[in-house]
Amino acid sequence: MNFIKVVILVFMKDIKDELRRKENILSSLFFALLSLVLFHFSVDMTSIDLSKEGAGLMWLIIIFAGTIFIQNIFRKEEENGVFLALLLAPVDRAAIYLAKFLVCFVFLAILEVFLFVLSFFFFGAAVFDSPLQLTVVALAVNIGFSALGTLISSLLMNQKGSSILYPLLLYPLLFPLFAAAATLTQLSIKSSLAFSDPWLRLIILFDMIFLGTSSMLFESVVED
Amino acid sequence: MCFMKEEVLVECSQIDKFYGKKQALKKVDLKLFTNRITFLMGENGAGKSTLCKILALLSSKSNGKLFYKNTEIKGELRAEYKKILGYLSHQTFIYSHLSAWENLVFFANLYGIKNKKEKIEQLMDSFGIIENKNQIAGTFSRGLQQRLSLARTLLNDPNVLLLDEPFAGLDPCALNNLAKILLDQKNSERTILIVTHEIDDTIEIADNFIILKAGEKVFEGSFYSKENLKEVYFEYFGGEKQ
Amino acid sequence: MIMSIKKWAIIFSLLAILTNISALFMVFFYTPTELQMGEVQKIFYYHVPCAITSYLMLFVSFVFSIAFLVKKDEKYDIWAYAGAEVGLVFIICVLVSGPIWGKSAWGKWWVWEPRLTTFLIIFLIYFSYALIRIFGRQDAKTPKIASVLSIIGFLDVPFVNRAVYWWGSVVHPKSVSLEPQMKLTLFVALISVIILSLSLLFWRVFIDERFLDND
Repeated sequence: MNFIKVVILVFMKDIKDELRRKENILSSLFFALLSLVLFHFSVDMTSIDLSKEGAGLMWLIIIFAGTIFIQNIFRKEEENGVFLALLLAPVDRAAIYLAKFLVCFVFLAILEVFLFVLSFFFFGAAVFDSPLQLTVVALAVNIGFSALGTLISSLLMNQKGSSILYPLLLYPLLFPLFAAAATLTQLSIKSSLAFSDPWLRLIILFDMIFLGTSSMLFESVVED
Repeated sequence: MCFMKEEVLVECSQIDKFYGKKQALKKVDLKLFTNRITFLMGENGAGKSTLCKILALLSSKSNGKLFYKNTEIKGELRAEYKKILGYLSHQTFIYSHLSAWENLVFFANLYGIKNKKEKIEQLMDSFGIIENKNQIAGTFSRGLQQRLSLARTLLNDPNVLLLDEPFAGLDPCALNNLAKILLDQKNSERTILIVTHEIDDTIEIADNFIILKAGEKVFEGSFYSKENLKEVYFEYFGGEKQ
Repeated sequence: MIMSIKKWAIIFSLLAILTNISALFMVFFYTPTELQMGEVQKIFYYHVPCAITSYLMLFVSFVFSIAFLVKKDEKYDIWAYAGAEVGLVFIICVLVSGPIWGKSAWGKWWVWEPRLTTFLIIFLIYFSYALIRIFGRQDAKTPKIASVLSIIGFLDVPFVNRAVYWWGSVVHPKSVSLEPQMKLTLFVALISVIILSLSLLFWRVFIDERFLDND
């Protein structure tokens, strides 16, 4: 079957499944809300300045809340051994990886919209000052986060202690992305983000390398 | 009685499989013929499921060769082989949050099945699950799930049907039904391999038996009765003959 | 194969003893004392070689991890594991020697300066690799997981390096001007540390291969 068709097929099936289950999506969004409230009390915060430390805070919440969803992206395939049925099919396995990657990417976009709106509501964060630039930053970060997150999730499928190991493996790898995300968010709020900015080029290069590498490594990961 | 010609459809030659230092399969040779049901038997850890997974291309072999219609399965033939392959295990391979219909439509699309609606309806009808088509698969009983799983396996009309412990966990009635269904699936284009370690009434559908012990093939042949099979089986694995 | 690995391990161990004695002699008796930082600056002659050597060992792990995934031969996994372990040891050396030097030079045990921070993050990446190996000791899938981690971990290193440099201010200069004696000492120390790392690598592989063959 055509590569793109397989990606769309698996993507649509996953979206249907996630919307039906709801637990992954709701847990993740709820965690984001909880985190905002906790941060208010822990650092006595009444406003979030996205042009300063507020940017890092937001990305911290996105990484933690996003992890709750992404680490379970293969959970539905672990149940009933259905992942083997996917592997049996005469389809390119990289298409399965890309479909999962897209599901994570879409979810992260939803999470970010949710979080930015909440932070505007609770803390008056200036998310609507430069929406286009902020969107570009978020989408660029989502690619790298989804690429690595999906690969690590597939690595730990059916492994004991996977929920403990997942953040331990993923977070150190995400450091460059996190640093870039926080810096670029600060710049975009100040409307001083240029497309030639070295941080943006770093993220784009990071995305290309890790999306490509992860697609290739996925075949080795899933083969017995 | 009509004589049906049998051909070698799938062949294993000198298959080894290592998991680290542990050798799960040792120089296994195997031929699967059309119009035959072959039972692959042995005690736990004998390598039956491992061999079945290698035949299904779910696991790589460490050494040896696999052939389909006398051509080695590699390169482009791998994709072609997968199109005519059906695999079922004691796990159901179904998405528990999708309905029976949605599960079958998804897999039919994945295999590029033409006229999928008719095909799915026909399969659901023949396995008696058409009335449950909109029911969420996770709410099915074990027997129903197994039938749905078998319907999924037969979507692509596989010539090579590999079943790993399909009878596990089924009550006697469901077991009989499944055995009958499998017998009906025999035809001149298809070979069926069933992995099992139970010696019960289901063995009556088998044309041929292969016994593995500690990763090696120790027996291949047929039996004229269940008692005959038990005798030979216990010779290899000990235990009380009943 | 085991005997040749053992032979190399012994040869490199002897060489490591010789070269390190020479290097230490040069550090303490040959090279002049740096004017501003004094005697404590001499940590530099092992701190920098440890950093370079750790990258070398992580590269060894990276290459053998790829080989393992392609060839599926356990012997490559042994080399990959050994490379990562020895690399981790030298990363720890950097993280220990750095603060000792820093305390004396800047009055604080830890400063978030780019080089040390980079090594801290690389330590986190490869410590998670070590955790996978420890948790999954009995699991047949562990070598594959570890190989993938080693590959993406190594690819991540240049990004970590750049991100850290752009993120924080540079506390100490990117390039240091050295007198000829200092350069020579640094070069000898680098060679001696590389030889030491190779001897550790060969011993580590020898131990694992002997364990593999005895089984």
